[in-house]
Amino acid sequence: MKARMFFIISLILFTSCKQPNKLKLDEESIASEIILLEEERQNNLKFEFGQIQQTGSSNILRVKEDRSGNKDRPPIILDLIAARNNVQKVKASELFTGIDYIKLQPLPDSTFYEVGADFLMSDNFIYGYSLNGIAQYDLNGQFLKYICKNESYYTKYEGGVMTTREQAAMFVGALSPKLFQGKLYYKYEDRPAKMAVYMEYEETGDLQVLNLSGLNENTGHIRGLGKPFMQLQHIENFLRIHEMNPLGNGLVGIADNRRGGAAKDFLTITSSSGDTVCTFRDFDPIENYSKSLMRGAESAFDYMIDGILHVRQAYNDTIYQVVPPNRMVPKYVLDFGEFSIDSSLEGVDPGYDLSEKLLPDKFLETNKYLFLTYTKDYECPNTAKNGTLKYSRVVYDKSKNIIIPVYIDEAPVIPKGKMTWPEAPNINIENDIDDSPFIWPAMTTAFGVPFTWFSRKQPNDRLPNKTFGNFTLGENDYVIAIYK
Amino acid sequence: MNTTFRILFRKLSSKPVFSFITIFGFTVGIAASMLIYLWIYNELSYEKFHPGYQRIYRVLTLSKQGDKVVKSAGNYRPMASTLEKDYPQIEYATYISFSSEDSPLQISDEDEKIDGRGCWLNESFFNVFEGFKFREGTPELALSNPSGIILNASLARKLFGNQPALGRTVIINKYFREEFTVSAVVEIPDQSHIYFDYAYSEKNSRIVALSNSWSDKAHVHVYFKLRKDAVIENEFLSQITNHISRYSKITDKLMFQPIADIHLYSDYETHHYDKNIGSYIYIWIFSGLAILVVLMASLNFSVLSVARASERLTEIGMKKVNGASRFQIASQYLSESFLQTFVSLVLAIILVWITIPLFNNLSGQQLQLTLTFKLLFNLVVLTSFVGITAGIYPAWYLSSLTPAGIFKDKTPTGSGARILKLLPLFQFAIAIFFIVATAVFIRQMNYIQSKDLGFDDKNIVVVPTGLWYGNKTFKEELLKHPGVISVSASVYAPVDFAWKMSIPYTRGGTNDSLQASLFWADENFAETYNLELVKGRFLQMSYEDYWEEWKKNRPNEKEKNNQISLPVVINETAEKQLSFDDPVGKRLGNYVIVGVVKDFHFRPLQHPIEPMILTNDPQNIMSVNIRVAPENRAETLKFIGDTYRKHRDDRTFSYQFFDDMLQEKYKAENYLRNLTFLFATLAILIAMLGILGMSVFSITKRTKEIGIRKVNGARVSEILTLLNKDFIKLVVIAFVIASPVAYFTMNKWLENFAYKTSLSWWIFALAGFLALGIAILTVSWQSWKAATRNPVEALRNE
Repeated sequence: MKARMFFIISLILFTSCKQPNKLKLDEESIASEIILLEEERQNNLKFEFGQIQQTGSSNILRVKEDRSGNKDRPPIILDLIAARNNVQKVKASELFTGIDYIKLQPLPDSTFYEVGADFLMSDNFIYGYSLNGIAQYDLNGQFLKYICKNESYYTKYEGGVMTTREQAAMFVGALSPKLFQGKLYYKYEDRPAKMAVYMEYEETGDLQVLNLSGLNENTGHIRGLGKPFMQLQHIENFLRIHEMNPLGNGLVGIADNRRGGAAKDFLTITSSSGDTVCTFRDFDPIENYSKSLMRGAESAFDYMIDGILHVRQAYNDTIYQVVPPNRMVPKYVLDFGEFSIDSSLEGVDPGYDLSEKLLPDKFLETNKYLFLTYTKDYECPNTAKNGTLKYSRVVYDKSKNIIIPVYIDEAPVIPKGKMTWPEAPNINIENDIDDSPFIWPAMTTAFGVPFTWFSRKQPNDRLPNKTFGNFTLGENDYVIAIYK
Repeated sequence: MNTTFRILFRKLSSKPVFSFITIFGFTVGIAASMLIYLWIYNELSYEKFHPGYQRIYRVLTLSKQGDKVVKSAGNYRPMASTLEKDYPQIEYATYISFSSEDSPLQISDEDEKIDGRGCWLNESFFNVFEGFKFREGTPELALSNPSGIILNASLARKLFGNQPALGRTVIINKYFREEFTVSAVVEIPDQSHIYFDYAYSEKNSRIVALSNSWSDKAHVHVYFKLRKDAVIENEFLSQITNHISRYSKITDKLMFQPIADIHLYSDYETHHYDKNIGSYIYIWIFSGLAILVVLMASLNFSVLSVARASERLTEIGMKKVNGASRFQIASQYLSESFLQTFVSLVLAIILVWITIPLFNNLSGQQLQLTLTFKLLFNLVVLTSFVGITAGIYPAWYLSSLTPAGIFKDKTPTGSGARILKLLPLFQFAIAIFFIVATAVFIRQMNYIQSKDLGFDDKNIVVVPTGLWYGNKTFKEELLKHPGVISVSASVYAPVDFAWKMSIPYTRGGTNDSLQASLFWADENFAETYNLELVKGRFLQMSYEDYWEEWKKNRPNEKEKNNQISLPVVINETAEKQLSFDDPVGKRLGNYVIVGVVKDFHFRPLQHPIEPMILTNDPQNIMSVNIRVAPENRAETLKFIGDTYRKHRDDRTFSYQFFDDMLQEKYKAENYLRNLTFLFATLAILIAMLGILGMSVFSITKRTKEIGIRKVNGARVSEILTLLNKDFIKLVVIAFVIASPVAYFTMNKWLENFAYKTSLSWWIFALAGFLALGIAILTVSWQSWKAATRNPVEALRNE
């Protein structure tokens, strides 16, 4: 009986043995290491961000806003209603003397621009940025290095990209880069750690390698190049973007874009230590709004030209120049006459019918021109589908003080796929300088010269099979076109 | 051998009762062992169909969650490619990224939609898992096409019937329309923890950007295969466990589990993406049951053979006198033992073939009796050993008797007599153990089924909807039907909700955090599930109010001290942990407590009630819970289905009743109860047969004594008492031995449950009395016959 039991038990033991684990590890000691690492990380982050606050200046006094205009230079009123007549084909040679193309070297990370791309040009470098970070090129298009590689999460689908709240909450990396006086500034957010800083990167062409493990020589756990310039309040509502603009002398302008609701202030100028220097109030606040739905009919915009920040608040017709520390001077007024919306409430209240109203869409000021796109009805997939959304484009010649209507009330281009955003068509400007299609300029170089970019990945208004300058456009190539 | 056969046949037919007892016992014992063997073999064969499975590992992560470090199968997508790149010891690494909800598939826009759960894979998947059979297509090309889709064979059958699927178009139109081309059809065997209805390549344009994200850990499992010649050193282990730190500042570390261990040895909360997770504990339990039954059957044979030795004394004596050696005598009895066990083996195979469907039903398995060479070989080996060990003692004992001793005394003495007493003792100890175990299992399952869960779980239909913001009009339309009493949207039904978060709060100036399950439900949840409110009020926030409140989370608003205040309701366990004087109105991070509900079970009863926070978040609604009237349920369900299809034409309609969902969580325990009941019945049967055999033998031996007592005036009751008392004593001793063992074992099993029945004394008393009753009845039948027999006949024969 004993033998019988011994045999049976042995059989069971043998057959039920676990698979031998060649990679067996001590779970308890690993767990202890993790706890220590987490503690160290928390302590380091507090230390880093604590240091930034200590270095800020506390000598700046708060001053009252000054919005008085310049009598010698009143704002330029752009009569956009009068400019809706006499649409005619425009030749590129009437606006520019030539077009230079820079083909950008494909990045090591082929997915970097998968969900869109924007570009900046400084005196010496080109910066490409997307949800995946910021890349630096020289002016020949040669890739130099990443300034920051983001940990960003989104779902890509045909024609667009979607980010859930949970994905947005995991974001770590750079947003909204801006160039100012030879430096690149960008917001660095570490949302899981609930920390955010404004970073300042001194432009250099050195092949500085971005340490992707998270440890940066100068800044500890920040994964971007540069140094922290200013600590930011953690932005918990990721849908709301505060545009930050460096103003020099340690000052930063923070503009609320009014998307998603009322702002207390139009623009706030602070020092790098976070002290408020001046606030420019919102004279058309969205207050006492009781409805459950709010429409985001248009966005504010801000831009730099000649080293001066220009801002426009959403649902407002005036573009201001910001003269730190406390002046805002009106520069342009977008006059839509009876077709403009009268208040911000009209813009946000879905009860107001905007189908006959004209709203600014995109605005670019260059050294010679203004490039303006505006819409009839507000821009969204539904208005595009319903046929009420129309686009218009005009060019304002600064030297001649004339508005050239490029096209008026044209139907939008609707990319393929569900949940995609309509776009203005690229029509009516004939490129007679070379045979390439003309793409509406999107940004300016450091010298105020307009440029744009295109790629086969953006099928909407971009291109088929042309050669540009000395090259042929490949599938993954991005090309910068500078309109001189 | 012929002689042995003839002698055996003569012996078997001359004593049919004993023959039945031994052969029946062996048959049942071997059949039970075979069934358990098939079950264990099936359990131990998981993942072993993959060539080189010994080199395949799943990558686990250890990460800090709240105050604890938690082990998980969840992982990061870039893990696979970076492991394969960085370590030459790794031949291939792969990942599966699961979708958290079903998608509708159809072969054309007009065709019926079939729901399926999808995933995406990297190109190394079929290099790691070479065991998946391709019904159509090849592993080399299955994942090469970014627009390709791999179908599970069962889904392919539903979509295409018996037609080939390769190269055909499949449309998935959930949030947007996508077309795929079938690139392969694979069979996923039952012995795999991996399951998907369809899969596509990570190169698919929609998700290609995500393959480099170090996030979405909950939905991704990572595996790798070591090279055959991989040398594993400490340095390699140290590097690979810290692998994540090369690419991310996440502090997680890695551990590795052989895939053959996943089915039985996953000592972490396995995700619902893992199919068929079992436990090695049940291997031990069922092996133990089988061992006991075989033991009992073998004991019957051994001991009865010894007990009957006196009938064969003359035969043994004559053989020895005629020159037979001890070896020859022993061989004869061993041969007899062998032959009986092999006869039993044949009968057992037939019995298993007949009863395997019943066994599958009781155990929830899909076992098949396939007489492979391996199985037959194992059976022959097992049977031989059973035969040897059952027969070796009697063979040794009987062959040791001397002719002088035989012809002089005609009575076997010594250890044989002691063993006779041990048989019923041992058998009844086992039987009592089984009776106690069965009673406890039944009591515990009854307790689980009848325990008040803190809410009304009857007549609730749960409809999985996937993420759905716009469920309000659906709810309103449902309520128009008289058969629909109440409707509530929530993340899932509160059957097994394990998602936890750490929520900060301040008490008396001290910062602390509460580790709680954050459960998302709408304002109708308490009404639908009849939750009892003990303080404050339930959630009253609609989705529009939610979005409005969330807007307060802006820096400008914060400067006005406008804090976001999303209402939450907590349970009593959370209230105790928070230790506020009155929790209503207190803040927990972005939340404000508006009410307290009585504790209710949102996990199966193996788990204690833990702190829970209920809040509303439209971005987390995945189910609709509908309380229906018990009358006309079929008609109500049809209405629900029609209404759902009107609102969600992109999904197929499916539903489950809440109590059925809950029962599924106790599947393993129910199967254990069923099998234990079966084995208890067998054990009792064998014990009865054993004691019957012993009583027949014992009474036969005492025929003369009974006759003399009767002649001298003994009453029937006195004879009965005389004959029964020895057996009763043995049963009592068996009870004393079995009870503490049963108590300890059952107590250990009940520790798996946070809520359990008690081990009342009367369970043991019942088992004891039952065993005693069976023993008395069995023995008394023979005793009565002997006691009422004419003493003249008894003495004449003597």
